[in-house]
Amino acid sequence: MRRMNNGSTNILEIENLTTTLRIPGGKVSVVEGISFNVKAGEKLVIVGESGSGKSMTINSILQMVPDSLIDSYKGIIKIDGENILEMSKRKFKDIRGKKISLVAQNAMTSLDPSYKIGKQVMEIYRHNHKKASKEEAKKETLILLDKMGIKNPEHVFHSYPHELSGGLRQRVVIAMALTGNPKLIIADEPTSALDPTLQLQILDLLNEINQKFGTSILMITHDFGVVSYFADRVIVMYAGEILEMGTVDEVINYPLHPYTKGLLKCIPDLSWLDKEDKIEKRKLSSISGEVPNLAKKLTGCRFAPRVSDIPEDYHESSPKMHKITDTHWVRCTCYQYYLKDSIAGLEGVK
Amino acid sequence: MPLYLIKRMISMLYVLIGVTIIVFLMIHLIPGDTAQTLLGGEATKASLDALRHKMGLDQPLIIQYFIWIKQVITGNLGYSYSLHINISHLLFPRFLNTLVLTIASLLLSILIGVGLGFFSGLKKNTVIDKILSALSVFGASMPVFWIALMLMWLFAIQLRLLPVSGMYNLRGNGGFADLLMHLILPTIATSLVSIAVISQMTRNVVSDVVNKDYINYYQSFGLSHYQLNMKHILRNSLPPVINIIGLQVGYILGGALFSEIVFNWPGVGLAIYTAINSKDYPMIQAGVLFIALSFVLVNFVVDILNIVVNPKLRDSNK
Repeated sequence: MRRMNNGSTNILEIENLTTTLRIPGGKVSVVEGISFNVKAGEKLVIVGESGSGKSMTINSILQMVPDSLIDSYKGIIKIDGENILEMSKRKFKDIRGKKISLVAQNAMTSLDPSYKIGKQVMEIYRHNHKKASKEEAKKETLILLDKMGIKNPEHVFHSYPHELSGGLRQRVVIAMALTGNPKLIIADEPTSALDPTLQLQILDLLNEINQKFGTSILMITHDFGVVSYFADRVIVMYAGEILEMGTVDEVINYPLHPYTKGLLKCIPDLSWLDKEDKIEKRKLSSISGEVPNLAKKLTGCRFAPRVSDIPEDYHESSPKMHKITDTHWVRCTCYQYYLKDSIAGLEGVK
Repeated sequence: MPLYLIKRMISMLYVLIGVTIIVFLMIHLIPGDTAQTLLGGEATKASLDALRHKMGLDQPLIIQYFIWIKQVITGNLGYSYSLHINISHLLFPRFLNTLVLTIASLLLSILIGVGLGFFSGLKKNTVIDKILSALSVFGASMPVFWIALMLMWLFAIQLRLLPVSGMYNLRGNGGFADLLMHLILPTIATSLVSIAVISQMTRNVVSDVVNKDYINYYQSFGLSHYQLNMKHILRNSLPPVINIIGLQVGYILGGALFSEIVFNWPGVGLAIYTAINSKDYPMIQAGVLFIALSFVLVNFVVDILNIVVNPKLRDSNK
């Protein structure tokens, strides 16, 4: 029953989205001019450091930036063909849970401690299915918990959140997100709060949901391990902008932007275990400098201050997205600096 | 759960014993000779000894305590030397009157305190929240007897809207409506401070709960404000708020004593007040015991309520 991944139907279309927040003494654009699509049945992962704007991107899609902070959303956010920025609040409430839903980041704290699991999932189920009776909701909840790979659904149904392990709670959180049969699940670092063995289980579960129900998944993470294990396509975000976008193969095997390259270098490498020269190999690399302060007016390539070895004339004054292949895009021309000697490398990418 | 109840009851028993010892000693440690006070300076030694013997004051302290506690358990609170009646007969109806005033004040403070606090917690740092916070600081800093006098002056004497004092109109037929009219001013005076304290605490708890991950998560499903506020925010704010209310019951009981004196409300407080004026020690003792016992009992109820509303506590007390 998997919907065909033919690229023709976009569940989510974002065009030129700029999200501006009010801060003491001015305004700041935390997301600036980003455009991307999520196709039906696709798994897209946005990767970036803290402050890259990835969380603000999903908060914009879900319209969950607190009213006290938000100044404006500009651009287009289309969910299943409808622009939610031109929609009444009431209509958007109907879309939440049914067309898109969120898998919360921290399963340990995302369930209400005062109610039993069953009651909570049923509440969301009945919110999404207004006509469902109590018995029906209970039946569906148990089925859903079972589908989440929970061994003893009846027991979990009658447990309080504090009685369950982190992995079980994350499964419950995913079950809640699925109550309305959404077309798109937005997963906010769903594995960051879990230990590594559980991380894999949860990613497998999300994979299974994607396969079985054809649900598209938009995930944000800072972990390239998650990206390479899970994603169909990857977006690399930095300082509120998209720097590179492509299939998982393109971005991980042929990264172009110096920032993507830097990020990939930062992944701890365990191959030193087999090497003779252990001390040398055990060193971790990092990207020098820090994410720029968005409150200040930024011009030119936002990553330029952190790659001092690239001469200034390689950067564009107002960087645009450059098309490398049909799926691979990169911002600013500074990536060409590393390719200047090896045309072959560029050919390899194409 | 039942096991916890039993445990809690046993520990309440200790507290009760402690309370009776303190109440007993309180009176007996006051300097001055009870028999001398009662009979006056010109009493003969023989009549003093006779009275001491009659009151059991010639016995060792510990024996006196057990005699007293035996009487208390059987419902005999002793004999009032100033009013010349059995204290139980006087104090039980008085206690009911105090209960009426206390419960009315408690309901008012819960209703308005939690209501206002919940509202300002949701609207934290808005103008309305700041105004309410300022008002509650103002309310919390006013002594009960002063509020009582001011209310009486404004509503009863200047505006003549409400009766000045008492519990029933002496010339009326003493119906429920009459009681209600008499109840309004003492209730407001007694509960004003508690309203302020409860609303401040509720505000802090609610503004904390509002920022919890699960509230954010539930919001992402597009739940209505009503559902979110009532089912999740209010529910999760309850345990600390119930604790605060429990503590406030003590304060309200204390405040009711003041109100009773100012408004001439025929409760335990007024009885203690007149007893103090006439140095009627058994009466003071019984009155204080009543108040202390109610406080212990209320704390017991609050603990049980907390177990009911907080599933985590329920487990650790299984």
